[in-house]
Amino acid sequence: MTDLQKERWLQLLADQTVFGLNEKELMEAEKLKKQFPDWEQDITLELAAAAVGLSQLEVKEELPANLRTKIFATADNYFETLEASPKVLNFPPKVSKNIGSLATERFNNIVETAPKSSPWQWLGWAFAAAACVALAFTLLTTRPDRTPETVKTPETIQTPPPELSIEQKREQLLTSAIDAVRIPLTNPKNQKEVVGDLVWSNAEQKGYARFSNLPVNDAAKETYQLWIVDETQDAKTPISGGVFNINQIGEVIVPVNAQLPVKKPKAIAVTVEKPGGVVVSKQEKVVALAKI
Amino acid sequence: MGQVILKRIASGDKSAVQDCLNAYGGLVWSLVRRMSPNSDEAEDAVQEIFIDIWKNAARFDEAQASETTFVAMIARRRLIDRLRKTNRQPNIDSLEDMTAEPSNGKNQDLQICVEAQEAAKAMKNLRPEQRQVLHLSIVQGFSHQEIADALKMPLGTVKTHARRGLSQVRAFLGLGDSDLEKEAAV
Repeated sequence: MTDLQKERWLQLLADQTVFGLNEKELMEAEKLKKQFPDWEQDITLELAAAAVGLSQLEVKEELPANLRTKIFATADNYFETLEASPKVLNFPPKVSKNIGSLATERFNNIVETAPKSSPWQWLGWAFAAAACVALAFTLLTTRPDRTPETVKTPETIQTPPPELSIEQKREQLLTSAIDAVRIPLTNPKNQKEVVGDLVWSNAEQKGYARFSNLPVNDAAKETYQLWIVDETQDAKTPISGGVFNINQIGEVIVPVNAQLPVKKPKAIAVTVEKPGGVVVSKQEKVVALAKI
Repeated sequence: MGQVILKRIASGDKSAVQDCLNAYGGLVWSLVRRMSPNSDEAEDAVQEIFIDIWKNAARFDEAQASETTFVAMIARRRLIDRLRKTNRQPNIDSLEDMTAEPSNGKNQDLQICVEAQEAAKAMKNLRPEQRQVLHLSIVQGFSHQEIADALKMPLGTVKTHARRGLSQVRAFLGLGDSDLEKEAAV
């Protein structure tokens, strides 16, 4: 490793961080990085650049609601994939074409290029495996009781905390959140059969709406959607609080999942929308309203 | 609370996604809008960035930086990658805007995180040309060639200003200065 190589490597690291590298530079960096393994995961320059970027940034607007909805959908897929293959959780993240993250690739290369065993070594392993099988067979056939013995090892039984019912969660919010309010839900068209209440905590940013006798909806044709009217938002674009369906007449409690931070809630409304809900409601069919 | 979001995501806690969007949605959107020419591009970039954030959440080290800076770093990586692939130029009103001396940043009390405040201070202490190159590249998103053309500087000088300026900011932020860098500086 010469001083020139060192200098070049440092320059490439800085270039990558500030400007990005072209294909030729990436190939050059790929060759040089082998000589500087300690630098492969150094992100300090990138953090410094990020801080410079933040120092001139003014966050003027929130993430648009429709984009937020898309990201939630992406998150669903992402976390489902993780659940399906939990090994991914511990997998070193791979950020393509970034010098600072090439450790993963290097690790993979090491695994792939490990020296191959000779046939004689494999023969030795084969003999060893055969001996193990023979030993196991002997042990099994010479034991008086062939029933496999249960090996009892001390284990810690971890009882998961009991999952609260939605009624209990509503009650808990009402009693524990310092700013929780409970407001009656009314039907704007005075349809007496729909009654209920809303529990909302602005500090917790969550709430529960309880309805009685909200008509059953055909989920294939329409859905109910909750909306939070925020004083700081345009009245025409309230914040979505999630969608729900009613399968049977009776009392139901649904969580209010605000898709954006709620700053000054003024009211919560329930509208009828197309299946899946909408980003912006025409508010043609408002079936319940709670004024905070 | 903000400091635990990435750890929750790394552990597979799906409910942390909402907190992540609440905490960093506006920040990422603002960073992307600054560098993306239109809404479609911006929306694609934001979605890619959030996936990157979830994938890299386990690498976050709170002893090294705040979550905000880490998130901004992930966003920058993606934006640089997209700019490089599409060979696009960010929008700018005029050459005059481009060559103007960068402002001293917003009121420090209003800045997003402690590293941003410190970075603003560090930028003030840089040589004017280093500050200008860093501003045009990191804040405005210009390539080294564009900066060289606009400032009538050799390409190598632009890169050197960027590297030295950024190294100083890093040192000011206490993010370390490696032995290798010190050796090379001698």
